[in-house]
Amino acid sequence: MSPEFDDREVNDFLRRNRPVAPGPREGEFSRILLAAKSAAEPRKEAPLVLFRRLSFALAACLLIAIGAMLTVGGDNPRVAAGPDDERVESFLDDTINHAMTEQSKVVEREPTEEIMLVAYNGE
Amino acid sequence: MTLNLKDGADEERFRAVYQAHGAMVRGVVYNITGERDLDDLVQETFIKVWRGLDGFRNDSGIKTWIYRIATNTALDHCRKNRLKRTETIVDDLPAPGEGEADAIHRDLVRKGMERLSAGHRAVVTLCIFEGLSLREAASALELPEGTVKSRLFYAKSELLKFFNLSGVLA
Repeated sequence: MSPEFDDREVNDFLRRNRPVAPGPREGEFSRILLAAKSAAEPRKEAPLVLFRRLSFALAACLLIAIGAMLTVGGDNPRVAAGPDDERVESFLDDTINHAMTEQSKVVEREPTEEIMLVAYNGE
Repeated sequence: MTLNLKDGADEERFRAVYQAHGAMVRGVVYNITGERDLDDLVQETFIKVWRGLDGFRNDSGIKTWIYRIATNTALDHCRKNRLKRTETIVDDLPAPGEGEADAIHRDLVRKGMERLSAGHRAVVTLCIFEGLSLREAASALELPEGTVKSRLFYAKSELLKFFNLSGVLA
């Protein structure tokens, strides 16, 4: 800062010669008040938008609920597993019975001559 | 939403606040942004005041709060528009009771302010033109006191250089 002028002198000069704003237009307060009030008013479409959003959310919930009910109550093999279990069980029983029957057939078959001969020679 | 519930008493209070601080707001906004958009920015400032007035039932600290709103509104405007202080229309004729030298000095200060950044103009406006203390200016600008002090020093140095070059204070 220039050494010839002290701080106070500069401040006084600036303060004395400060730029002055042009005066307000007539009726400025009324305009400001009107603008403030209208800026504060809720928009007219706001309730409608809220209603639409709520309706959409409700419809989505209903769809989800209906879908869930159909899934649980319907003939869904993943959820209603009872009949399938029985089917699997009976299939396994049949397979085992069949295998046992086949085995018993082999055992009960009459020995051929060759077998008889081998058995005789072996003794 | 609560603003719709404001009654006549609130309007009267708002009117009193406008009458007490309207000129100050106008001066602050003008010295930071210039004349263009001045009316709009003053209106924007007072709309913000209207919205927040309920928080100042006892009027304590309301002046600093309004300074803060006015400077923030003006600085935001400068940031958005990347404006230097806009040129103002100045009458060549001195105001009544004002000598020719005074008119020249006033014009010089205006031109010097136009050379500063918006942030420095805000500091000069609050600390020198409005006579706020460093603490009050720091509170209004939401800056540390040290920052305000250094900005003020820099701004005054720049103005002095300009004045010296112009031969006014030499």
